[in-house]
Amino acid sequence: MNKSSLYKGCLEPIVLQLLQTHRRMYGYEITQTVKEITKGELQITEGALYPLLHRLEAEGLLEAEMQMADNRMRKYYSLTKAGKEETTSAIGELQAFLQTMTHLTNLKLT
Amino acid sequence: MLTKEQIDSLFDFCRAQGVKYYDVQVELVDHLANGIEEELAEHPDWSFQKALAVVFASFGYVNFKPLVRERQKSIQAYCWRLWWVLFRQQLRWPAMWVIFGVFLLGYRMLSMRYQTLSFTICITSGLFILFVIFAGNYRLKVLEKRKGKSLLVTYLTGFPLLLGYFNIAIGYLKLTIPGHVSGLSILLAGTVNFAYVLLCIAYYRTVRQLEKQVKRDYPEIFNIA
Repeated sequence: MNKSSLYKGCLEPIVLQLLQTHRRMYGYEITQTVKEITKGELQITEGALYPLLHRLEAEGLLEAEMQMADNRMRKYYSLTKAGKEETTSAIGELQAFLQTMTHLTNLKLT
Repeated sequence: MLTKEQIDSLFDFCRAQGVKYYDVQVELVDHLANGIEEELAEHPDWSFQKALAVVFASFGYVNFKPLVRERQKSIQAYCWRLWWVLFRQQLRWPAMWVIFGVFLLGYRMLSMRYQTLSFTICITSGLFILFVIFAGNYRLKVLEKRKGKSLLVTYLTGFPLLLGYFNIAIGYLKLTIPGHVSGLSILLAGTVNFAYVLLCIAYYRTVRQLEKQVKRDYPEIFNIA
């Protein structure tokens, strides 16, 4: 089975959790951090990450801040108050989902 | 670190890949630049163009147009949300009194000449709405291009509001026909009209808010930096 399709639905809680931990991050940093943490197991494509970041920003869960870095502008994302609440709920849902999956995969077929 | 010429060439690359909006280009250029810097550090023998091709391939797109479409959708959703929040903010007494006061003044001025209540309200609100929408649209137009750079934030427009008001105006003018006027119809029309005026004011405030955000985020194109 394609692993990336398994991770697809988990992208939002992953990004929210990362921003909760790191306070603020930019797009490239998020892709690299995920790659590093998962030792390359999960690679977030930019084509999936940016639409997600923009959607979360539009929903008021993230706020963006521009800052000069080296010789170019950089867009940093951080969680809003609503985003912090959403992170707690998203992580809770993800954990419940993982528990259910563990139960299902541990079932002995009779 | 990439040179200024290389950064400029990344802006050109984004434009060539279908990104005409400066606010979208800025984020993509930073991403591409970060990726290229890392590739060049790992493979010092690679050229800038080769590293760019590798980083671009990681997006999984033929060009950036799908990304722009997604961004347009989210900007639109953001604008609608902001508009709604600002509309709701007005449903508080201090703001309501100010708007009501402005109306009363307009009504008094017009009713000196025109005697029909519905006609006077229709004209007063019509003029007010026209002014607010054109003022908002003008500000957006000014925002649209700064130093030849387009911004996606100008995806918003207030013209549908004008079309919507025609329906309300027709309803009002019907009230001027003898036999159509009743206390309830005036009350209903007045409430719809007042809500519509609030909606138009919220539109103007949305434009002002977007303007503030854009100036804060991209001072380099507003001569603020």
